[in-house]
Amino acid sequence: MKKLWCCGSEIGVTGAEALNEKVRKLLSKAELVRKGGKILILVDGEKVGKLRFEAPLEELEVESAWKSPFGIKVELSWRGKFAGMLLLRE
Amino acid sequence: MKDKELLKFEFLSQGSIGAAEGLAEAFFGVILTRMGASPFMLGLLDSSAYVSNLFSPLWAKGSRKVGAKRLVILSLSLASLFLLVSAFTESAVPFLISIFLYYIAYGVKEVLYPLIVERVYTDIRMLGHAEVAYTIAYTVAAGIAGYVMDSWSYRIAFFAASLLLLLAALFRLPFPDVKGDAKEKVEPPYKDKLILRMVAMFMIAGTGMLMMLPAIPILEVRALGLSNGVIGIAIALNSISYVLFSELWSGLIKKPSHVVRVFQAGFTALFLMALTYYLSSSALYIYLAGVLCGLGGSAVSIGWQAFSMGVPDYRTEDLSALHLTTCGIRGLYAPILGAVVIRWLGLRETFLFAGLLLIGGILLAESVIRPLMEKFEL
Repeated sequence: MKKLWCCGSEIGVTGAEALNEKVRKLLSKAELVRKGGKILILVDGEKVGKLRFEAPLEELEVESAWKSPFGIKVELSWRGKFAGMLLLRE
Repeated sequence: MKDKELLKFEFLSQGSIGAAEGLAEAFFGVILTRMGASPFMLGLLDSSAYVSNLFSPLWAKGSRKVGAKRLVILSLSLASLFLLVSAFTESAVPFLISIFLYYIAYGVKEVLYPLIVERVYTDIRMLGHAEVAYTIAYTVAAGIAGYVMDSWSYRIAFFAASLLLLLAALFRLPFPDVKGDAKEKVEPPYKDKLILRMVAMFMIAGTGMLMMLPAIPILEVRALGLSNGVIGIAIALNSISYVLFSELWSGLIKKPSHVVRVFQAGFTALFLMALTYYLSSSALYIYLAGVLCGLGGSAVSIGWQAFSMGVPDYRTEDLSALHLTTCGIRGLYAPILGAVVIRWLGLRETFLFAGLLLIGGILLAESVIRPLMEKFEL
């Protein structure tokens, strides 16, 4: 039996190319907004992600992606450093 | 071999593993109790399931040299052998030693299995079917294993489980071998005070949960005099409840802050489980406790998965590593603490003590909801 309280294996998302394209498209329309100490990624006024520090959107890269109950969590990096995430709601 | 053909073997391997675990592993504590083991020995048995976590980096390193498939096949074969040896033991100490070795061997498979499936399947969703096979096999096997043990001997069930693990190893043969990557260093977020408060909440409530482990078989076997058949049904009910409630929690969580409410619901179910054990006087209480255990355990597991995938500030893998590390730590000490409390306060009182820790977890969870909403919700 799975060890009690230890079954935290998340399922990664496959299909990297299609995902990359989708993220790139979304980031090209996005803007960064500072709000309440947070750096938010907005697309058409809707919050779609958050960054840990300010980084040029066009230089962000997809590091990994996870299928979560909130949508697909796309983890972004900038120059090899974890920068934040984008949430793709299906 | 193509994905679909390999899936057949995945299905067979996972089904065999589920049946083996239901036939033997689910009853380790019960068999050891019937052999006259002390609470401390039962604490050691439960802790030994987590010892293998300590060796995880070693297995990951080994997979980079010799490939994960070989190690997984070796792991299952050795686990099968140690299970077979345990079936021949006559007393508690040799049984405990062989089970300890079983867990060490089995731990290799637990670490490397995700690596194999990640690389082999292009569509990871296919694995959902194999997991269903595992769960059905585990539930059915646990349900009937008790009757097999009562009618003949636990040895029959252990022989069958040993054979099934060997089959599970053979079903891995058609898979391509994969070698692990030198992974980027995982950086669990130890410096974030809010995350640390979540960890503290889990340490407190998780200690309460895990310290009950040695007390449960002693209560079932010595205090209530239940048969293996009855205990097997309780284990099967626990498994069914886990699956059903996992679906429920997945559907309820829409924001990171919802996760904390799910944790609180889980801790409450586990508190009620502790209370049920404390008050228990017949098999019905044990069945109810089994259902509550599945309800609470699924809330914690699904909740943490959702949390680690919903928090924008950290990598999912880093949060997952943090959870697994802290889980491994409490898995090592909490069952032994449970054994000490059984000696110190008494058997039933141990459940009350555990219940108090779970209430502590519920209260601490309340204090993290607002900061979590402010910090992690978009």
